[in-house]
Amino acid sequence: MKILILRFSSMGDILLAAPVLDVLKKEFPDSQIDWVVSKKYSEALKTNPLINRLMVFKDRAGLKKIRKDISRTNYDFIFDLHKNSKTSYLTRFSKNVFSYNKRVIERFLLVCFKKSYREIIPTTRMYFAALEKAGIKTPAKWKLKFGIDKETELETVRRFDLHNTNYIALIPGASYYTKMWPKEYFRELVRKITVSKTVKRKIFILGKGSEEEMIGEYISDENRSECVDLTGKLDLQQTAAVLKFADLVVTNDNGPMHLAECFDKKILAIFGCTTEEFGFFPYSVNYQVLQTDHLKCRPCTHFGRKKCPRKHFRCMMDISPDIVFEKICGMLNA
Amino acid sequence: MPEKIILTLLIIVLSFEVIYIIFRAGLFTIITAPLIAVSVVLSCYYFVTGISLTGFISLSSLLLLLTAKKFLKTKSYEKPDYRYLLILAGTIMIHI
Repeated sequence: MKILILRFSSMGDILLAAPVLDVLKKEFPDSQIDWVVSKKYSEALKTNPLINRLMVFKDRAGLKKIRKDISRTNYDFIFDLHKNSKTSYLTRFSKNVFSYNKRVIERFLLVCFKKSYREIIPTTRMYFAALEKAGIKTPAKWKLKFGIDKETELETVRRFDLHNTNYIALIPGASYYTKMWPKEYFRELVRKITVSKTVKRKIFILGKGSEEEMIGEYISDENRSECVDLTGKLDLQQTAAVLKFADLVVTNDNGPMHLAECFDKKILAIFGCTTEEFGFFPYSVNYQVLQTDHLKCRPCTHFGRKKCPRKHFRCMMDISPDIVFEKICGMLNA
Repeated sequence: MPEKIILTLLIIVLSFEVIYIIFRAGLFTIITAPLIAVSVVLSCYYFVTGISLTGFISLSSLLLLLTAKKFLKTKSYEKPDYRYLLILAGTIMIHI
């Protein structure tokens, strides 16, 4: 039995799609499962033992090569969990292609007419729908998984003395500006945590990319002894190792939030322009979400924007550091 | 002749409002106010040149539409103000 999964990006979506591997392996233990992924996000799947072959592409030429490969290999099932023009290019002449309902119309009605979904479906469950179309039974509950290389884990634990440190992981970045809680607020929050007697913890700031590095530098600037800025210094494996031993993860709506979900961490997520309807809450763990419910302009988009279209950015500005700090106290003392 | 121009203008206004609701490009809703104002002027001219009941209804519906445009506008990225769209649709029906 040969099975192919198509999900190219991004990190969060890939992690949310990974539980389909468990379902498929349970249903077809002797199957060969291949996965097509974009090079930028391949790290999220590299260590997954359930994948036999990871087909990585960088550009159009790489995609063309993979297309030839797919047409040569006779796949019994192809699960299109991305469903865009590139995946239809790959599967144009293939049989047994199963995809899921992206809820495009419902999403349009929600963003433009603020008409709420009839039913909120977690993203992983939406991916399971593709498997159900192929007659495969899917579980009601699932767990996100991410394999950390043992050596990397040990090395990271030793490097930051993670076993003997009580710490909170902060992930201040996100793919879009409107999904980021203001860095000034993060800085104030760090100050509050470091001076507090009840929740006093060390803080590790995580993230990747130049913008995140600038934010990390800004947040940790005042409290260098208690706040360690690791933005841009760790790869995904090392980031996962740091997240694994954290007491709490405070994050925006981003990929590493789902990475923390893989290790059953307590998660405090701050959601700005996006809402629960899109299915990206960290459903599989103990989580709390902070969001501004009373705004009529939310959600202004389903993936984020470069700036607030109303210019007030109240979806994030109304969530003060005091509110977040109070939640952190509640979650750590629970 | 002015009725046809008014109707064309109103249909353009409706199209722009729909485009604005879907794509939320502010220019499309800003541009509709002068279009309605031009319709009011044309309707005024039509009413003054030959006083009639239809001319009066046309002018009053357009004035109502202009008032609605001022007070019932759809704020960007919020739910559309259906009252304004209803008045716009009604005005078009009258002019058809």
